[in-house]
Amino acid sequence: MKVNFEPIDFLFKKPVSWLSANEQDAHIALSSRIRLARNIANLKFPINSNDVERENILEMVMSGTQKSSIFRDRLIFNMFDLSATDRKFLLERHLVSREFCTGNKGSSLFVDADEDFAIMVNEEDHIRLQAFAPGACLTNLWDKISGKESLLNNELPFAFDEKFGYLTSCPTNIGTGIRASVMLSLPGLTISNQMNQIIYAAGKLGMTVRGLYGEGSEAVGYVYQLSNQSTLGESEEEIITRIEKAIDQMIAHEKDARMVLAQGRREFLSDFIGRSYAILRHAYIISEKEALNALSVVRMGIDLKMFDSLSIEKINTLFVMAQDAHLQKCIRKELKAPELDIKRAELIRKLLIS
Amino acid sequence: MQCNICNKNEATIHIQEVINGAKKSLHICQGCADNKGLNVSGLNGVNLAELFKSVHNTLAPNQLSIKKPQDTNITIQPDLLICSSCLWDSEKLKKTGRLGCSECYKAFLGILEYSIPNLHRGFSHVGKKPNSAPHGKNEAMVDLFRLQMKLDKLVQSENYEEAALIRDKIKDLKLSIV
Repeated sequence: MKVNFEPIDFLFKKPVSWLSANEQDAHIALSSRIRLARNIANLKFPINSNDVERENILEMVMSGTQKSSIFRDRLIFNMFDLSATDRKFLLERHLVSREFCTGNKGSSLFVDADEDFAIMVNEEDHIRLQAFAPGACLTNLWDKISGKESLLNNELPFAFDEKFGYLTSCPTNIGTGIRASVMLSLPGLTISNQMNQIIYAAGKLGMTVRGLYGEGSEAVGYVYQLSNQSTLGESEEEIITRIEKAIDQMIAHEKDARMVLAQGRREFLSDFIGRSYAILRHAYIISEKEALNALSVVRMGIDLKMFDSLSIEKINTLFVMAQDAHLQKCIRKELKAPELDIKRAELIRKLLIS
Repeated sequence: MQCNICNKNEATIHIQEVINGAKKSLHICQGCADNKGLNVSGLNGVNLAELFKSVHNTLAPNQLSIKKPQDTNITIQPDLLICSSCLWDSEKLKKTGRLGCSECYKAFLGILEYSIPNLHRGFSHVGKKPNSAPHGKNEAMVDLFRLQMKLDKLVQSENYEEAALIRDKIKDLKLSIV
């Protein structure tokens, strides 16, 4: 794939490849992500480095990734040079973390044009490799990211200790440095008030449940990210197997919750989904949160065969496009509420009937 | 604990450094700190690595005199642990929850051994290990680290001529690494 124009515009013009539509349980398990934290041996971590030192790290990782050929078609985003909207745009595509959006000098995102592999340079650690895929498929992702990590390691030595494993800036990531997560749409469990129990149970199993944009974010759009909490003392395969089992259980619980609602409270559920659709179809002012919540409920409605002519692909497209930065890219204007909310409602109405 | 210098008074300042995995501790009393120019509440722009070195030298047979540092706002607190590789300290660790470099894992081992069991399901690493580093790359990284620290010091002391030379060395070294 040849990229001939501005990287941000290039990404904007194509749908996100990691949102599921055809995979098994696509209406619940939206996407999978694995990230590996690595630091170059014997160099200070980014938190303790000045601009010049971070630029040096960036140059080394730039050269290392080039020599190891781990990207097919690499797009580069220097966070410092990007506008706040462009940074938020990358966050909304889940390519960067919220912390990375502060845009320090030397912080750079490398992403393959297919958006299935990326590296954040100078985030909390020197190197954060990330692999993405639609649906729940952590095992395949691990094989892929591990292969790329080994190739990069041929070019750059990584900080490692026999006892503590890969050394990271935050002790919560030492050992394997792996964070494997699956993004789940759980409106059934949320509206039947079971999420608190689920979060508690996940904690007991050594898992963390986070919101739509990861660490410290809210569960907007009934979307939750389930990931491993512990990184030391278990192999990557053991961690992934444990998460996959927990994900299977979560999906089963969500299906049960939907079934119970559909059988025991049919009118309530139909009304809830119908009203969500009506809001999307007829609102003239709609906030980001209201739009994403309604879209997730309609996605559940598609699963329950309530809509003949709506596809998951269309809902996924809207789920991405209705976010603030994507919307601003779409209308080519930097607006705030209520003007932005008016434009959002307009876009959703237009796309829903197209 | 007695002061390591006068061996009489109670030590109130505790400094720890780790060099190549070897841990060295120094415990001194306020009086000896004042005598050696280590005014704990007013260390001006002082390079703490140099300070460690100086303090250790005072314990060696060929004692060196320590000049009282000027114009500084760095404060050494009693019981503060400092990583001698990158100068990150235990206060910053407590404040941010982060470490400054890989050597910090040795410098703050006492704190980490206490907290890590609460964070993870195991105590030691299982899983993937790095490829054996290509010959000389690890050593080159150590050189790079040292040169960067040196460059910092030269820039701070406005010695730009020498800083430019070091900057060129860093550039060459980076090219040789990747």
